[in-house]
Amino acid sequence: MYERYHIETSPVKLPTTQIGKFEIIRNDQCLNCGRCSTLCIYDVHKRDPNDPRKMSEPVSYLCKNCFSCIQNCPQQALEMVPNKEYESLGNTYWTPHIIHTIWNEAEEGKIPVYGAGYRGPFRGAGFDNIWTDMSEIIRPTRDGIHGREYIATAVDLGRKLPWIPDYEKINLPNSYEIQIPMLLDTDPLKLKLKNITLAILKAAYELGTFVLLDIENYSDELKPYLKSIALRCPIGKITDIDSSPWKEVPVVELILPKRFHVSELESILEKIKTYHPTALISLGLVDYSLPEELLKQFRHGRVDILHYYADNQGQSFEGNSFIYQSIRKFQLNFVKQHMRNEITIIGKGGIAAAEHVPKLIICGADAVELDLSLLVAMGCRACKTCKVEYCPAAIGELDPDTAKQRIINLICAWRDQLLEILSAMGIRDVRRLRGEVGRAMFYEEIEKESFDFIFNDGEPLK
Amino acid sequence: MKMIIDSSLEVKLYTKEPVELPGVIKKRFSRAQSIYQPESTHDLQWMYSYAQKNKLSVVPRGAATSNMGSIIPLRKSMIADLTHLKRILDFDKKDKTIIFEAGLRWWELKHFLKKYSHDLYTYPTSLFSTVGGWLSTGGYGINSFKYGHISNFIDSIEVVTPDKTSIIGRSDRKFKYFIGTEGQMGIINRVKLKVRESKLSKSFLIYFKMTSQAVEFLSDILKSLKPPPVHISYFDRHRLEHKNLLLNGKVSFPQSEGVLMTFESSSSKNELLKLVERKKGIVAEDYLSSFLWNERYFPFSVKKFYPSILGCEAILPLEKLDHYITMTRKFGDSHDIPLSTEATLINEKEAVVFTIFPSDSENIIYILHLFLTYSLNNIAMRCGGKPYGIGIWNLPLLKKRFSDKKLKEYRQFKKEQDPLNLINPAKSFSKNYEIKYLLRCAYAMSTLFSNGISLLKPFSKILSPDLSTIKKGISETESCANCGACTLVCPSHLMNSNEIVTAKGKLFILKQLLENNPLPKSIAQKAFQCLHCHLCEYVCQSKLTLTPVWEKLESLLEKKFGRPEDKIERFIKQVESHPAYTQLFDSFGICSNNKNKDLQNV
Repeated sequence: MYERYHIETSPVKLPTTQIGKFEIIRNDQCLNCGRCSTLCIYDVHKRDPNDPRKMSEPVSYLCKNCFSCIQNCPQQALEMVPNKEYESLGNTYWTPHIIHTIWNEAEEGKIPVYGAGYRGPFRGAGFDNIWTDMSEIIRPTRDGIHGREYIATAVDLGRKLPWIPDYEKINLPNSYEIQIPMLLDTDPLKLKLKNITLAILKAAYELGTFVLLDIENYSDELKPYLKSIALRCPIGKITDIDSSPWKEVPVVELILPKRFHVSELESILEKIKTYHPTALISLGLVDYSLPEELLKQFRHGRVDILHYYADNQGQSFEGNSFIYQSIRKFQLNFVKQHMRNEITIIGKGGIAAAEHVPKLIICGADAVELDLSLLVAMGCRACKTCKVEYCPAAIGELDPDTAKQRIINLICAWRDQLLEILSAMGIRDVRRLRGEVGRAMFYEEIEKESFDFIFNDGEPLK
Repeated sequence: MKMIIDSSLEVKLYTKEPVELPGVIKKRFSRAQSIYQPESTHDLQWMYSYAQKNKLSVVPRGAATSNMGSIIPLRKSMIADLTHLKRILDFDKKDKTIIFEAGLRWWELKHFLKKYSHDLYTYPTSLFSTVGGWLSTGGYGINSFKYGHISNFIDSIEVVTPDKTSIIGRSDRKFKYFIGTEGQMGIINRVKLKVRESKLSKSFLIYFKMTSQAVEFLSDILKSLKPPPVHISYFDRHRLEHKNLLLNGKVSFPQSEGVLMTFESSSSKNELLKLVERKKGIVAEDYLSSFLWNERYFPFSVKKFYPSILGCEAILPLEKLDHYITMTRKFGDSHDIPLSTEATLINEKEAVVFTIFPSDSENIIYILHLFLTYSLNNIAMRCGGKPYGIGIWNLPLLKKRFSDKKLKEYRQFKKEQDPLNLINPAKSFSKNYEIKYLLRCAYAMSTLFSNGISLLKPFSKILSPDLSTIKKGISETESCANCGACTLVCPSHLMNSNEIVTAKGKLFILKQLLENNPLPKSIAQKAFQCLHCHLCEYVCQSKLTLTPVWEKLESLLEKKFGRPEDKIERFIKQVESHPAYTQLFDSFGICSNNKNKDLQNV
């Protein structure tokens, strides 16, 4: 029977994420008239359940800053002040705003609302250098979010043949379809927490996507979910390749060390192919320059997926490049080699908001891997130094099912936002968005076009 | 809606006044049966026919702020609570007239006009009294010096008598019979009032060492200052001392007599300062004069510090003011009673004087104190004064107010208007020998005190009130002045139209509870219909701290009667969906935002 892909959300509250951007303060001028409670649609103001004649304290963290209570209070008894605790969240990349947004999305599974409007800035570092362009002139908009037109968010992992050389012996390469262009990392901060691993894996299983699981975190407890696991292992540590998890997982990912010998890699690839011929093989890279000997592996069809790793803030580990710039380089490289369809590109690192997913796809990724954002969904505050025993969100003690539902909520909210963008662009399949740089403007390019000839005599600016 | 309240407790509440008559008199003579709240002319007519059928009389009542027992029925009566006749019917900006129902409160009227940047000419200090009520009892107040009696600004009134409803213009022969006659001739239903555009005003308070200096200064001002002030009040040193209780201690009024003047133009300022210098006066700081000007709305604000306040109010010739104050001081000193006096000039020759002293209604001495008010009245009469209001208490002074000929004329008119003697019977214009003679006796006895008969001297010190209570602080139940300000702003009163749910009523309930008087559950539980909005606290004329009292009252009631959760819930739902409720808070919001501007008008 035909069934549309659908994510089931349900609100999950966490006591540790109830930190609002502003604090609403009710002073003793309040007359308990209840006007704020009739006006507030976010349940910030309510009458005291024990004594409905009085107002209870405002639940500040639910406030979306619409100012309606403050403007309409007949006594001007309400005021809004910045919340110090909010301002101390996160770091320069994982800003309080980003963390707060993820918390909201994970709690409700809905697209968050900001009442007081966006006051800029209109560009910034990282992904904020990209503006997506939804001009309807190119294509009429689609109705995705309300489901009257179906927009596909599924992507394929694996190679596609550029052409069919021989119709007599069609030997299609193996590939997997995942329902959302997002893979999940089971242990983004290498905390080795069993409850977190289990929660993320269960979420991925329900969502119809894959997780990346480090081999040392594997235990028999995870066996029921094997079909959703991409097993990740540094190249030197591969043992028992003919035994249980290796033989059953759909994807195997090899992490290359800084220095490696191609022959070593080739022998391992051979070994995996013999023991587990249907597995997709992914190469995890931290370097955005692609040496010729590696490119050869892709060309010969030995490797299916290129998995690029940036750090939590989207910066490359080697050299100075932001994740979307690195991905653009890979994309261009493969396009030039006429082999873009024979490789799947996945980017990881610094994906902190819903709009980062389509932005990275526009730059050439087929899918992205979510890491720290998943922990944030569970209450993580992206502290500068992470110590599990002092975790303000007590992440180690989180119930896996609660955590799982929050991840599902987050992904649903992000997928809905992806649908919004796709429908505004008039695109009905996220696969069509890959590499569509025409649907985005890059600040550095615009700056160059506009000012180069003035300031630099036609020479590129440094 | 024809709302009738007839439980004895609530009726008792509705006949409460700021200054209570002696319990003996109230118990012996008060014949209130029920409360009726008319909302239209038709209701008033229905009320008359109902009263006639049931052999009742009708006693009109505004906000019950006039004292003197004017609303105490002396025959079996229903009390007409006229505060629900409060619609504003028409405002003509061009003509500068406004037509409204007479149960409207001055506070509401002033607010309404403010929206159109208009203001009143003369208005009472008790802004929470009704327009009709003030027309029937007082009439002299703020700005009276320049503009005189309120009746100067009445264009016409509509009066409902048992057999007809008629409109009477100011020039009409009959007009005077309805002003200041306590509703004995008919109930004023509608009023057409002249108003003016609002003007900025500025107040000056001038201190003098001696009363004589202040009075001399006043007469100089009357002679030479052009343009004259709109309002002039005199505060004696004890009155200013009283007001110090309300200040935070860092600033205070000095030990001197004060003259407060308010001007609506700045042109006479230099002349005034010259005059002050010549008379050796000192101009007070701006904030103190503004504070005192603002205090005009709170004549009973010191009530907070004493269990009760008693006093007398009379119209006095200005030239006798100095003499009156010397006499009262002497009288006060000899009986060890701290008297304080305030006088408001109503024209160039007369002033309304208002002399008060603290007392304790719980103490047996209170009755004797009540007779002291007669003594004070007697002093005022000997200085050539006449009583300001009559009610029941001042019945012995009736002849000072009305000459025999006039009295006859008024009585004749009353007979024409109300042949069955239905409206407010047995008061000044009807015959009622019993109470009249009783009070006359009391008055005659009291005059002995004021005449300084030496025989009484040894006993006089007994009368001195025990002022140690100031330090102890007195309970809110005792300090409520029953002024009814809270009834206007109470959202619960808006729903229930019953004063038992307002601050006034709840303090009454608390008092019954503390004194172990019988209290039916149905009435007691009405106290829970409260939003804890503290609006009553904002407008309280005695400036009481009421919120903690409600907590206490509710916990006491909960112990005794339980908490009516379902009723509370229904109340909240009802109140929140009521359109007048939104209006109430909006109008109050405007008030609180511009609180300073509104009250100081600087």
